[in-house]
Amino acid sequence: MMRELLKKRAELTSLIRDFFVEKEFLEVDTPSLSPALIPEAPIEVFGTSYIDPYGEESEGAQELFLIPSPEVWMKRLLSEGSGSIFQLAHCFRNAESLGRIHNPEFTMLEWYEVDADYLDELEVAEELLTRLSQGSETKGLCPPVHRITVEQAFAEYAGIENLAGLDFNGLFEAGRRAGINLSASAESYEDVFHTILVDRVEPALPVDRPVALIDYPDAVPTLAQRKTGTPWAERWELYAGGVELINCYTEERNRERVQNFFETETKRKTRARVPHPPDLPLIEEMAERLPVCSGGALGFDRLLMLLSGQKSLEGVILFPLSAILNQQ
Amino acid sequence: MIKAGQIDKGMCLLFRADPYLVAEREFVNPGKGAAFVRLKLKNLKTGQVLRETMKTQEQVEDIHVDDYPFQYLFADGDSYHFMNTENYEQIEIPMAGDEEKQNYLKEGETYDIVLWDETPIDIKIPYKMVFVVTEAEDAVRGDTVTGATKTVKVETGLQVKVPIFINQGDKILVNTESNEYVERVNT
Repeated sequence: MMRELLKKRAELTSLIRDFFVEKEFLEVDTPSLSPALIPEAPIEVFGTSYIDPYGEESEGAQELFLIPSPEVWMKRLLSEGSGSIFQLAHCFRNAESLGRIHNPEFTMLEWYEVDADYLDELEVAEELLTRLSQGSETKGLCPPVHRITVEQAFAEYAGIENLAGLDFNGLFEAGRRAGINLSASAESYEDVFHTILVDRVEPALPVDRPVALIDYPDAVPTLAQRKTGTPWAERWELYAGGVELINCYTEERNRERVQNFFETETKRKTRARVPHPPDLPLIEEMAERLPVCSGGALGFDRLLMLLSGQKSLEGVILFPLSAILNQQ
Repeated sequence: MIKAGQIDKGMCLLFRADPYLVAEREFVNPGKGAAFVRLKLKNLKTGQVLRETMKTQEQVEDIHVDDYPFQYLFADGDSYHFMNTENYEQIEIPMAGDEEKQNYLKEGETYDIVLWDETPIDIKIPYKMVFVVTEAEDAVRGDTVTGATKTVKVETGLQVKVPIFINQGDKILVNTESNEYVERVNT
């Protein structure tokens, strides 16, 4: 049983490696620790510290944080001219539930292609899924990928038309008219947006094929580039079997927008359980040196769960935290 | 009050002025959004099932419910009548939405009633119950096919598929969730 799982993980790892190596991406291996991170209000992190063996006790320790994604390091490599890169990285997200689709430590496939945009990467993702789902009976993973814009999906599955024209108040009203409980969720545009997404859109997505939700509202703060002349961000999310599997952007390089993102998210981060400093030098890297590129992040364990027909991540992660904690 | 993130399966909540049982709970963290909990709630008064999504930071009212033993007396068309076996106090529980419970209520038998603030909200039917067969056709002679069944009626009116050797007056153990025959009882 354990041996079977080890084999499956190893096989999937090498299939992914072969795929990206053939495409001339370079595999990289970046640190799990960082003294600062990209501020993302919804994500709680794990904090730890480095102790200088020769330092005075009074000096205290150097705070470090476990990365919630390898983005901080991979973007630095891209800025220094790495070219297209990929990595299978252990990532850490605190204060998430244990169970079916979450484990606080998980494996992420993150890749960046230089001189490419988000739609190029949708092709890459489709090719990757075609390769990986060969011989699998999991229909939800087998291309072609069904493409639908977020605006179409809101109209079709939540009955909310013309998402482009709705501001915070407009979306709130439309959501309420659609019978969605927004009473305590009305703090911000993205809160209302995500409530509708989680309550109506996600559960209604087809599960017999992969679905890409394309063009998210730019009002949902991310580091995705804005689609020129539109209210949309160049971002897609791919769902397989109803599970959020891949997130992809054309990476933001505009100084003002990167700065804005860091500022608003840092403000919202003040409520974080584990506060961390924002990675300010990264703003400079992204604004000055980051090449045109697009990055995708795929939940490796979720992919394996779907490929092997498991119902929960606990069936594919070697030592899920829920089991580790139960042994204590 | 508790945070929605603390909701667990099996808990009871007061939601829009009605008591609900949490039948299913799943946490969802959109990669770039706040944490949510998706719930399947069962209205304990009407049985109606509701799907709700809440932010895990949202406040919800958890309620305390308790089981008490009551003796079943009779049904009058609108309500089931029960009696508290300790103080002989009688209560009525509306039948609306719960009509099929009648199939499992035997006069004089004791059942656990779920009370919330003295309001009865649910009758707990034991998972397995013994019934007396009140109507059964005789097995057709020569019908010896293994696994052959027939349908009988028990004292509450419930119809159960049983093996052909079961006769009127026999006592049988029945699974009350599936209405399947389990075995003949020899007492």
